[in-house]
Amino acid sequence: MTPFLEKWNPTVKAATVLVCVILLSVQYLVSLNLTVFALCLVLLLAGSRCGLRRLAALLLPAGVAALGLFFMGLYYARGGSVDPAALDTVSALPYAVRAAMSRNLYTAPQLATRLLAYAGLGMMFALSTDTEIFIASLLHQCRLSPKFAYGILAAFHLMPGMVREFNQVRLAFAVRGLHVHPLSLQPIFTMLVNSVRWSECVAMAMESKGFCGDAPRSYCLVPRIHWYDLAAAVAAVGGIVLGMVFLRY
Amino acid sequence: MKNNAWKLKDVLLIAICAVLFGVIYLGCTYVGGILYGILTPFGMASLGYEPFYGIYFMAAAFGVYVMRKPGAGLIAELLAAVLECLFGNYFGPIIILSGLVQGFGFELIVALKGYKKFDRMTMIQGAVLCSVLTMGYNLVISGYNQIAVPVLALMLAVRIVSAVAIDGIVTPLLADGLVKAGVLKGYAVARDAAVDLED
Repeated sequence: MTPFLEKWNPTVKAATVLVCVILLSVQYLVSLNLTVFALCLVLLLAGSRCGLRRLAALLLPAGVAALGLFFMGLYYARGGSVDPAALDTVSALPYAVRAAMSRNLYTAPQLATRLLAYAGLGMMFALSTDTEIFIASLLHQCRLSPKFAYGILAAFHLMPGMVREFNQVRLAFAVRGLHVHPLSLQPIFTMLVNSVRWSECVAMAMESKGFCGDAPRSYCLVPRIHWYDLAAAVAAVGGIVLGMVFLRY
Repeated sequence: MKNNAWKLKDVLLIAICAVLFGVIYLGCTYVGGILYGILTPFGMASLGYEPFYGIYFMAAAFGVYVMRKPGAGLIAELLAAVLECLFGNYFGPIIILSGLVQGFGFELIVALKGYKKFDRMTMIQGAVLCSVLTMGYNLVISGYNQIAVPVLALMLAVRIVSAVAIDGIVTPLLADGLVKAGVLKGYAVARDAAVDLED
């Protein structure tokens, strides 16, 4: 049986995530942010088939980003900036520094937990959504043109080949004794030439198979919106609104 | 007469280039990550990724400069955002929201000029507007309105320099190089270059 998060219609799921993010962006409740983050993780573990390793691979950069924002809020919150040098040079902190830090101690977790809440919502989508079903859902529920839908899928499937090609191009430059760094223009230019050629070849291949993008066509995958998709969306958005009303910190 | 409809090869060109720009960004995240780590104890972590921020806007800059048709900036950034979402970015569909803001920056500038001017100055103005709009997005969505103004000003300044260098200067240079190499035949940028030569 397909777990619930994976059954949730991708378009409704994405719209729910976006509405939740907009709601979270107008509040400063650390407890709400942490609740959203924790619930997303629980839902992911209980309602999808995502592996712990993949979850950890996304949690790590999100955690590092949250830590960075925490320190930023701690030192440079609006109206309460603290010069880090002041913390090293005095044994007993002056009152002004302590007052600013106490204010900042609330701003810092606000910023960090907000990022964690966003990451939780984003991961809930990313780790429980199948690429093909998401694109099919955009095609049917958002009326995305087949040209764009299949164009996105073609580019998506070219990614591994492009990474391989990019590394080969960089290696070819290195073999010739030319030093290349991540922003070197020569390998990027070579890759752009390849990209233009690939886009023409893939377009030609798709059109030669009868794809024109405008004519009516049949689909093997037609995602639909069910009552439970909408119920889950209402529950998620309603839960956040209730949290905004009843939670205090 | 200009044809503003999107052909399959236009969509594929923008989508494939968006993937390429994503790969370049991935390469830069290692450098950005090191900077982020170094700056974290000083409370300036977010500044670590700012020098590479221009790469985020490359899809819009390239789309606008090469396609030269209404909606190119928005569509290019949205394609890039959907692709990034598919690759499993931990922000998921939130990326689509920021993609919309980034695309709007370039779109607005060329729309204000009636989709007639695509020179270097227009691209630089687009890069600056894009930086300012994305900082506005960060103020509202990321909660940067809680951060001290001088720090935000420093971040914005670095972001603008990055965007101007990467999107206002380098991206048009790369596209002009592609025109000279003859690989962009049939695209508006090559047609306009041919007209300029005739003039």
